[in-house]
Amino acid sequence: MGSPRRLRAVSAAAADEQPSDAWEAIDALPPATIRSASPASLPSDTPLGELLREVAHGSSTAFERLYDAIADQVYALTLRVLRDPALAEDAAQEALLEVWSAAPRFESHRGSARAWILTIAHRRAVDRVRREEAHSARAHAEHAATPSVAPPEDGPARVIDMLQGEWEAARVRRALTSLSDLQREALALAYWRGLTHREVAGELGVPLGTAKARLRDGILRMRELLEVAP
Amino acid sequence: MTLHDLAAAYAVDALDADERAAFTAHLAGCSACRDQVASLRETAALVGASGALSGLAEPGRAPAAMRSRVIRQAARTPQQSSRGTHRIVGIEAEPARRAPRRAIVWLGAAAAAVLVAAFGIGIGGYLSGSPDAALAAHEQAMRIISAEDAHTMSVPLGHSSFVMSESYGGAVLMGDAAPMPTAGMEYQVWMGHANGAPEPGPTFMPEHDGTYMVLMNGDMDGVTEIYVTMEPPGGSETPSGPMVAEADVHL
Repeated sequence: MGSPRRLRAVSAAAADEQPSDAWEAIDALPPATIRSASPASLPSDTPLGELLREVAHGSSTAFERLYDAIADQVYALTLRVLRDPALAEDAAQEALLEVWSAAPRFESHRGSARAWILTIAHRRAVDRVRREEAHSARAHAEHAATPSVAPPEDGPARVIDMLQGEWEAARVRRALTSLSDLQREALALAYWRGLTHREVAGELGVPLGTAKARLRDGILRMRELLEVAP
Repeated sequence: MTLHDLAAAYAVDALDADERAAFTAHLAGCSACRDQVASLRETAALVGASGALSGLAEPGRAPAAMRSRVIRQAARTPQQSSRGTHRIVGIEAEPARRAPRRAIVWLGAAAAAVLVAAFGIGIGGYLSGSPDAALAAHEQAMRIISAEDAHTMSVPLGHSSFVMSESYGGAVLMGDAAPMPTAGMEYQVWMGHANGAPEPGPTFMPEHDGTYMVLMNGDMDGVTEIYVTMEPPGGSETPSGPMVAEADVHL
């Protein structure tokens, strides 16, 4: 698999372009990027995990760095579930505050920092989307979801981040092609629209047991596919 | 399907409220399911980060204004203890922004801070429940309540009492039958002084049965009233939400 090598090469090239900032930028780069570009199966987000441990001890500077590393991903997730920039911002903000307050409970041996954070974000977004007002706001926003525009930011850290994300997303998309249509639809309805498996059954017009089984099989299959080294 | 089979749906938040509660309770005693959930959440996070199937290709970046808001709110949001199922709230020492004459500090997480109701939303698989923090906080509350100079005032938030001890340097606000705040809001305690702005205290949420307890540690000198407002999650610098309850402090 050539992707990891390519990511490293980009990192070196980007550093060459901006020699003065490069080290600082890479040093200030907490997320999964450089280290997780190694061909390990799941992203090992050691820098993010280290930051989260510092946050757990009450470090506000670590929290700022953690924010910079993960806030875009948190917001992207809540927006994709909620489809309304204002609601998404609310949910992302709640999630990030929960990350701060619950950081002492993060157990690194149980999983990666990123998964822990995105789990919180997803839960917040789903809880919000299930509330009545969110449903109606969502209906209004369905056609008019205008993602908030953030200033473009260059620099090696950002570039590596994006490539890392693209590489991972490509793996996920490839894995999804191995699922049956029903498994894929069940997963999309549950994860992105925040439906319960009961609602998934209704939406797909299948019995509840079938919906449960498809959702479960789909997720387990994704785990199997993504655990295998790319 | 047995309860074990709900791990996958739980990991992608596809359980309804009742099932989620049942499975969360099950998780506490089932290490196999905790492991299962932890690894499935890695998978879910990969799907989530990829945006695949979401139908929204370019969500854009987080709004720039959100950063300072989150950082600011975090600065006055106390952290939970590393163990236990209770949420810790307290007042954090912030000398730069707080009136210099009073130093209210919130107790260190490990020591015994303050606690309130668990989050309505737990983060299940990652939590290992332990009553240690709750016990420590209750012990602290008992010391305040049993102090020689303890003063008790009733507070009209459900059936609540505010107990304060100057000699101990702490106070407890606790009660039951407290209604839940408006969705998306949290309660926040404020301490008013004869002169000067009210001092922001911790935010809290009652348990489902309306019980709660908030512990504050610090110099209580000069407090003339305490009150509770509803504020956005994480609380506010100055009261912005509706007043929920107030009580004069008579010594």
